Amino acid sequence: MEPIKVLIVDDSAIVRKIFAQELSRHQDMLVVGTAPDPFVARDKIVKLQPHVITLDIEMPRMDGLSFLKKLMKFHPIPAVIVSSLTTRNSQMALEAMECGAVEVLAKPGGSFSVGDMSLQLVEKIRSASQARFLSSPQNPAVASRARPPSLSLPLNHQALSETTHKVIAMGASTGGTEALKSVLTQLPSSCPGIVVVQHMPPRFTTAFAERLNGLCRIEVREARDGDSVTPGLALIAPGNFHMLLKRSGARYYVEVKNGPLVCHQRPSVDVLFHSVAKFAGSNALGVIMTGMGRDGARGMLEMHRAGAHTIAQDEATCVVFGMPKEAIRQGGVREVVPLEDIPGGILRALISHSHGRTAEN
Amino acid sequence: MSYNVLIVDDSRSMRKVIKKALNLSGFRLGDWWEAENGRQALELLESNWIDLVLCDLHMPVMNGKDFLKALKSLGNYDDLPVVFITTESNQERLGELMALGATGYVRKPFHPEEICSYLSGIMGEKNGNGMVCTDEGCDF
Repeated sequence: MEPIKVLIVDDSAIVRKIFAQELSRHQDMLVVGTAPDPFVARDKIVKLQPHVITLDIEMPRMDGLSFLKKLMKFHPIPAVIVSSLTTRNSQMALEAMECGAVEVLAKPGGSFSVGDMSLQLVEKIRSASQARFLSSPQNPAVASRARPPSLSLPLNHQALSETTHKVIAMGASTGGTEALKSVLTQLPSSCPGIVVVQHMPPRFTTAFAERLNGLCRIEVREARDGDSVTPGLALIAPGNFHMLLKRSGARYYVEVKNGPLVCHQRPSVDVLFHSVAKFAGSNALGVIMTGMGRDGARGMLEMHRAGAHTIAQDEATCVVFGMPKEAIRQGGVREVVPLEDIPGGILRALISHSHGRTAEN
Repeated sequence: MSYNVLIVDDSRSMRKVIKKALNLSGFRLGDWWEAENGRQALELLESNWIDLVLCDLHMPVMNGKDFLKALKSLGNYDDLPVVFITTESNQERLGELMALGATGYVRKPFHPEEICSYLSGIMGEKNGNGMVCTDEGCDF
């Protein structure tokens, strides 16, 4: 198999060296070059035709974001953003995802060692290499394809008020920040409580939750241990922690805790879905979205078996059709829908389910 | 490493002179494009990855000042250096261009070395420490 050709763009000679060294240990990786700034990077991208670039977006006195925008416009290539764990940089990393970058990696520093980083770097490059370019965020033709909100959605449907005992669990990875954004911004504030795992480093999940909160009708925040899951609220699992759903009487809440990596991930979608199957059973609704690997597939099957409605994002709208594919393969998926139909699918399932329930009563 | 340059001037011979000067001066010229006026320049910018614009002031259809205004109003080009190459010596008018967001200006006639060091400085500053990095020096 042809190795993944990688170009490392970073102003730090040490980082370039470490990345190249770490990647050279993997047979499926080939570092074709390095570049200390955008101009060199562009020349090498044209000349060397890498499959993936790693891009430091905080190079001094140079705007990595505008480089990325130009790159995505004139020479689209999957990019893994490399960023340190500061608030400002997390926000920049999120903007980079909006510009078309597909993965974000935290720079080593503090307690986070090069060894930790190395594995993640390889994983993220592999994911990025699978990424397909569905649309350019700058492309108005594609943007206008998105449906106007709510025409087909029963936003104020009275039935939603009968769904307060429901929980929606969502999991995503590569390409997930934009996919989640497009779904969560469509959901009405009367929507049941939502728990979300998006594979991302710590701090980035904080910035991600804050950003979504500013865009959505529902409230979105990063989960803290013990938070209640209530209608109109979405909790995002913090990076580097697992998030589990628990129940105390009629109240759902989340447990945020440490633990081993599951499916190479923490937070892991499987861990969340497993707990949702256990504590919410048929009151849950599961959504698995774009991302590489198989995290969430097994948990979704458990949810399905426990009576939950389960939805997978379809192949055509996934940046990487990995996790949904595996979930479908394992048999835990009830409905496969394009990204733009997921909000409608969620609401329809909630309402028909709640009607069904009423009829049974 | 090289810079992609757009030369905007209604005089074909002037565009040639500028290009020749860039080449002679040792400026790291990569790809280049030529436009006869601001309108054409905007079109070229839309479809090409350009790092630097060298622009005349007085041109038919869309002059340099209107081009600069239009460019800045688009919002996507805030970091694109626009340098005017002009015979204009009226400080007030030049100051107006700077206020509109021009990166700088070079007076005609100019010396190739002068333009090279000036433009390299502009590109270098954008890059960080002003140090120009060669391909060879960049591998680790």
